[in-house]
Amino acid sequence: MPVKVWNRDNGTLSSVVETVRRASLRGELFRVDAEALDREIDRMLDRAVELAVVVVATESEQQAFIKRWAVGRALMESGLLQSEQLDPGEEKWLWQAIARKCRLGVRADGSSEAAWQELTPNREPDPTRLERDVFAVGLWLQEQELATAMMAFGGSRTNAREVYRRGAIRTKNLRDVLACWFEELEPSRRSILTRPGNFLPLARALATRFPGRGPGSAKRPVHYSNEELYAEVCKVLDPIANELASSDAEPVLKNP
Amino acid sequence: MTSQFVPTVTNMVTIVRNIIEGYGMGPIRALAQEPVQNSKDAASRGRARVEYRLHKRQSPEGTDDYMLTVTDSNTTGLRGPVHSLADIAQGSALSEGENWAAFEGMGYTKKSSEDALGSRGQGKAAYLYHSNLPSLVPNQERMMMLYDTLLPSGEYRLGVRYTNPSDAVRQPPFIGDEARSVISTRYNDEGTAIELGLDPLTQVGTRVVVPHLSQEAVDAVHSGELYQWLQRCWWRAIQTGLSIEVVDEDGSTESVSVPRWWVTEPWTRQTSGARTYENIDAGDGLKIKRIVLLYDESLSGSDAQFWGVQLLRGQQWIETLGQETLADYVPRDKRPGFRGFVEFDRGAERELRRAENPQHEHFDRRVSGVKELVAAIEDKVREFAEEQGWGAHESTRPAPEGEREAALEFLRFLSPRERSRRSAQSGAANASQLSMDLTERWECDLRLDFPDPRSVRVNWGEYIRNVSVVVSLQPASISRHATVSLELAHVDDRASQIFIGSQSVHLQSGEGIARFGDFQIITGATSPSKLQCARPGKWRFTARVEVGGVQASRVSRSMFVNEDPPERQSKPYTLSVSVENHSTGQRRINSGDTVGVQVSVTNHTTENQALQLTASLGDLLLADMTTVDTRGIPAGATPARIPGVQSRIVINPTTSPAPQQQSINLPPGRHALRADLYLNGEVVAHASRTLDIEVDPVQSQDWPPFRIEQISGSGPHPRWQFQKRNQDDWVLQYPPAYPLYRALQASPNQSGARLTGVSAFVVDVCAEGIIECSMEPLDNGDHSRMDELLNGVPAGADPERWEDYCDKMQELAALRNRPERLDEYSLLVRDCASRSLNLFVERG
Repeated sequence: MPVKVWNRDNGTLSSVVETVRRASLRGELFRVDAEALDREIDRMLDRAVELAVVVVATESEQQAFIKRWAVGRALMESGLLQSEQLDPGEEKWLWQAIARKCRLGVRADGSSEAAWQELTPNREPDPTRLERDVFAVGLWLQEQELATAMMAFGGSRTNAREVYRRGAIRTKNLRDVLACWFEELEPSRRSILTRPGNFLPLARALATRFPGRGPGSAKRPVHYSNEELYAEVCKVLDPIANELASSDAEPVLKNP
Repeated sequence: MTSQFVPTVTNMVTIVRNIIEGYGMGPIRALAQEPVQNSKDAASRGRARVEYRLHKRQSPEGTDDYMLTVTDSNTTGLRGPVHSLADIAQGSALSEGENWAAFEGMGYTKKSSEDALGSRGQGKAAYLYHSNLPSLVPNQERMMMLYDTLLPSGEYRLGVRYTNPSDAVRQPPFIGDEARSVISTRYNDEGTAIELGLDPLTQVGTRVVVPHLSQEAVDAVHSGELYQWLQRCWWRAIQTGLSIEVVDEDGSTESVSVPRWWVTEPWTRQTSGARTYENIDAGDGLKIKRIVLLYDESLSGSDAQFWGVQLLRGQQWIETLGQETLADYVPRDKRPGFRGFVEFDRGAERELRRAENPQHEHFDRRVSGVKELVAAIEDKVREFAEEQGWGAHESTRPAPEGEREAALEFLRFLSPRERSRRSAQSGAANASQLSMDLTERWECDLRLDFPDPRSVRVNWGEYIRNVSVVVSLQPASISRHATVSLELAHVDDRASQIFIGSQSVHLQSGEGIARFGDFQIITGATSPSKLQCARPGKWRFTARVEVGGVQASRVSRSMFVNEDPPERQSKPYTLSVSVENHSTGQRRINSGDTVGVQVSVTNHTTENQALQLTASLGDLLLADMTTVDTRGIPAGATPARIPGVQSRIVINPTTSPAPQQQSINLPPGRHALRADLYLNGEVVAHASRTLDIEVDPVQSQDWPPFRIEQISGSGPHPRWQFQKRNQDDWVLQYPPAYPLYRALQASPNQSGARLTGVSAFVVDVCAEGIIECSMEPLDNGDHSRMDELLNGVPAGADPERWEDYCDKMQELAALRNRPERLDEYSLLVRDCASRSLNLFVERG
């Protein structure tokens, strides 16, 4: 599907149509298709805003987490990626088009939409990173309901990324169990453990228990029932959680 | 106030020596590093001021005597209470801010939260080591340090520590005016007088006094060596506020400065010859904050020793990546002008702290994450080198067609695809079967009892009993006659062959047995029940089954006469995974294809063992801690493979699979079949195999298991090497610049010879490549490639010689990962390669 990519030069909005269709046919020939897609993206982004505002988050990091989740959920609901019109290789243009619309806050008809401006990062990285860091993570996060995802990662994108980047522990059942494990903790303890610096050892321990390759990798989280997986997760995380919680409470002696 | 020294029972002189002599870069680096680190830790945002000052005093004998003071200010001072004698003697835990007590004590217990790096007394040792206090009695070794501190409250303390050789701390310390009086005049103790004559501190901070300074330290101040170490260790901290001065005995002062190539902070602005890489992800959540690399051809002379990339932690230099790591990227003539440093983010610094040795001069590569960080730095150095035009010295290209064809001919000869397959059910060693026609499958098994059931060793005079050959035929309904013959020969001496006998066997219900009875192994002449095996070593029984004059099956077993069999596999248990596309026979698997999967377990020990097997393909769990009962084997015998998983799986089925089949949906791409073998809850072997679903394999076929390329470059290359792009993409690279290759290129080809010219060279490296390729998975206990290679007999190969090759490969596997036997391993690699080449050249 040809994709319309907006731009703003010296305050003037313009757009180009990008496609992987045959080189002999210029993208502009598909502008009508691209305009239709642009309107679909409008609806998707409106939905993302709608999903993001229903939850009140006080911390900016949590707000960012919710927006990432909301973009993923809206994208999934929109069916844009499942569209047969989207040709293989055009996803990168789609990511760029969405990110650009957010950054510029521009609707298909050229009017402004400030509400989209914080849905994706203000800085627009290359499409590969956009996909990996924003849209793929968003789609992955939305596999869980927002409350569960927030519980699993303490509402932190950094924590979510630590799990996402370790392929073997990305599965939904592990994230659900992780959410259960955090839910069982006292709020104060949970808050200590979901600090990114403290969450990292948890993610690493899980990745060590469920390695992506090599010895011990044959049975993966997806092969466990939820009860079995919960027991495994407790076995792995409880000792670290106890250690982290206690070290957080005690003063550290500095070398004189 | 009564004062006394609190001695400990330890020989502190030895301890101090051990600590400081553990510094690979010498005691002056310790002196440059430890005191400043302590001061920096005690300063707000690390902005301490530290002064190293040399003082000259006259000894009672009239000779020059030096004293060093290291004074810090803008720090907290040695705060905290002075602990009691009992605390010091018995040891106790310290809390945050108890710096005086920590400085005094060597016997305090370490809290679990305490940083292990700061708990070994490195700081005190760095001072004491350089104090050569005169002996009071012959052969006595003594060290001494004094330390005074002014605290924000105005309190003044002076402490004294001796090692003579036990460790002794003056208790209580001098306080207030008494402390000021001693420091400004002299310290006097029984037999020890130290002329101090120092001004009391006027700013909050700490001063450590090292009397009777070692000549090595005095020379280091005079020669500038101390300055250089201080600069190298602390330049980055100096750049952000730390201040260090070195003052000699004449009052001449040098402020330690930032090296000139970093003064302009080239990472903050575009600088010619410099590159900055920021926020580099090293994987596993570890990030490098900044890598700065610089090339300046004007840097040379004494500056050249700074070449390399400094790794900093907490703004402190820990180690330099130089010759060992970066020589491949930075040419020798560019090294004097090449500089770099690396700073890490907080998470990575935490990991590095765990990896740092107590001397703060090395990161242990075995600690998780360190290798990855170093690899990420290497990547950037490579990138930088290429930008500088240094890195474009290596290129690869496919091997020329003639050489590739020669290699493929050899590799096809060894290809498991080109031979008849042994039945998966056969557990017997070296059993083989041939299909007489499309409907008959013959197999045989040679059975015998050794004198000691735990070994295949037989001593002269001992018996092997119940020698029999079991012949089986499928389908079982066919009734047939076969002739079974049995012979014995020493593996290294074909002339020793003994024909034991031949029997006719009538097969009913698919099985028949030829019984040969018991035999005594002797050195004398062979008779019906005695076998002459005068030569010690490995002998091989070979049984052949012939039907209508055609060999239908063959099997052999080894015994060792008057000699112990060689060692077993270095891994006691191994796994073997095989995957076959039953639908097309191709490696690429399309939707709807059925694949046959087998995971087998091998026990190489003498003991029976129940092991647990787990195997999976994608979301499909094929075995979940399924118990596999394995039998132990006599030492020297070849063990049987026990099937643990045998499955037929339909991939992405379009219709419902048959009842005995499993099915799975897998998206296009590469997916791994994985298996883990457990003993007592621990993984003892792991194997995996890639399935190419709806995509072409990396290799155009699954044999040969590697591609062949030529590698060219400015530097020398090994005769061959593997470039492992991933688990399934191995490239064997050989250099056409290799002297032997060039010599062969220049020599005339011998017409008619199977191996000649450069083709012979390429086949030779392939013979070694195939060995490495088969052995490497064994490191995880994955026997798949070995089993695949050694199964059956290559077409045209002499079966006996092939068996010798298989035996040697098994011996090689037993030596894998035994560094103490590397010589034997290397020799055996060459032996195996030579055998495979002979088999190839002499094939029928």
